[in-house]
Amino acid sequence: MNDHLSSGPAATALSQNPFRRLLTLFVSRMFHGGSELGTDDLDLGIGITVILLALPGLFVSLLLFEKYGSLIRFLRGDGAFDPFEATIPDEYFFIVLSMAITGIATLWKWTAIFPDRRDFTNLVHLPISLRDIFIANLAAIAAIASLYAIVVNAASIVLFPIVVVGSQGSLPVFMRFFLGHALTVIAAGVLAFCLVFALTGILLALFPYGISRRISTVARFFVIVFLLALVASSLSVPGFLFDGMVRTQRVLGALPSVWFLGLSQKLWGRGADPFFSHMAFRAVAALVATPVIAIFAYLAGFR
Amino acid sequence: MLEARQLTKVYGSVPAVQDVSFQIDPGRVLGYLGPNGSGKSTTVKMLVGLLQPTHGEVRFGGRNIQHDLVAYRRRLGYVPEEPHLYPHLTGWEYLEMVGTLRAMSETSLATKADQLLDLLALGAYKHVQMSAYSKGMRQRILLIAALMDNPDVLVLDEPLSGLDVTSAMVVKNLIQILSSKGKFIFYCSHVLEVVEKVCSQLIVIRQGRMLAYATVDEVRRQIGQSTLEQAFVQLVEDNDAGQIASDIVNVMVAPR
Repeated sequence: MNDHLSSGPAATALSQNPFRRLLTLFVSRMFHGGSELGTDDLDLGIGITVILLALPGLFVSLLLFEKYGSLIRFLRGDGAFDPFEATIPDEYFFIVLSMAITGIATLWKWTAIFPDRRDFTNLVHLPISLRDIFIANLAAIAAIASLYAIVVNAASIVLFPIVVVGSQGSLPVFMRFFLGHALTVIAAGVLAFCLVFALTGILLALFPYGISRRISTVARFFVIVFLLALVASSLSVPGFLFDGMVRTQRVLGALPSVWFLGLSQKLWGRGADPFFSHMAFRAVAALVATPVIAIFAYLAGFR
Repeated sequence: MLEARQLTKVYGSVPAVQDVSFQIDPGRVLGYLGPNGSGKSTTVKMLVGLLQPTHGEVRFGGRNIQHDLVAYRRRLGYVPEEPHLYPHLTGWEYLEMVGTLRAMSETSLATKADQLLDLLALGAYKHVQMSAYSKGMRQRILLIAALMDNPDVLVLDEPLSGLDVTSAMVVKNLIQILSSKGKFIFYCSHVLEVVEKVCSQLIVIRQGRMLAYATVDEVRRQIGQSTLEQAFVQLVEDNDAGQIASDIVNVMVAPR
């Protein structure tokens, strides 16, 4: 029984704001599995989930010390380098990592994103309006999307700029690199979350609940395959982008991860290349359009 | 007065409930009986505002509940048929959540939740996650959640499901005391002897239609049976239960 004890006095503290209480409920249920009582959904809790999400970015950032560390570069006899150009392949990898981990984490919690039969049974007969439930759930989704995007990229946001430009002694360069990288990878993660969220909402809006759940298994499989393919190709895509072939660029320009590489180039002040400018525009357009589509799909699914 | 007027719910082209009308006066317990799939749960969901009727309306205090559902639900306590709770919450956290969403005062919520948990033998488990609760414990949590804000209307859908004998006796007595205090109680159940004991009036429903609506004694008298069970069987069952049981045994003992 002790394994199931809650976490002490904080758990018994009274929260007298109904909206905040609903928000807390929706956030906590997303971390504790969306399944009904008695099923075997993996319930890792908030702490373990956050650590698991952050670990890949941390490992990759630490590995880059060998590539960009000033002492190692000195010992290898490497000269000065342009950090904004030299890091394009790694920046692309971080973008892909952000999209893949955030996307997979969202797929993992797919069933917990929307209110389900359990919420219907427990909440709808209480004296709260459906509008409050809708807004609280939407706010919880926004909070989770932000949390995922930040946690997944936290290590690289801090370590990548330090590793690459920390030894160059120029604060403006450091800040430009830091902000450009941080905004790009967080935006990529948010887009991945919103794409999965929109897909969930569209399925729920188009099909009855039972059928949409069955279809969602197939949809989730294909999304995971796509994300893993992005990761698998992440080392070769930057090379293809710079091989000078317009047709290759056009094909690869369909990948959301390439859009965000364009965004990072723009934010780093290297947006003169029309291809990357166009990609940056696509990234911004997707960042605006996808949440709007997701919210409308969510509203339709909620109803 | 809680009143249902010609309640009808149609799913697609399939009618789940048709023209169900009744009223519950203060201090009365209305029993709602019917076989599986007869439309009991659909009626309950319309009664608590979870479903909108296709036709008809539920009125409380002379007003259609759909006109101000939040106000109606402030006076409503509901025990659903299935205890689908949040497994990651403790019993106390769940009650705290329900009390907060009911806008109960902090002191009242803490005091009532603690006292009711102790009275229903859950005090020792109040800080245990509900994933570790038995069905009976979850059912008692739902009862406490329904009762702790002292609602005027109680809608109980199989409230004794999973309860041990002692808890079931407590709940049966509780229903009688609450009705004596003027509460409106709608009691949906399969357990005929409990309905017979606690309900002042009775509705028997089958395939979404009301077959009988009277006091328990009147239903027995109308059907010409001495027990409610016999009357119920005569009203809703086409098949002979004894014969079905006998046929099952014949299938079981047939040679391999």
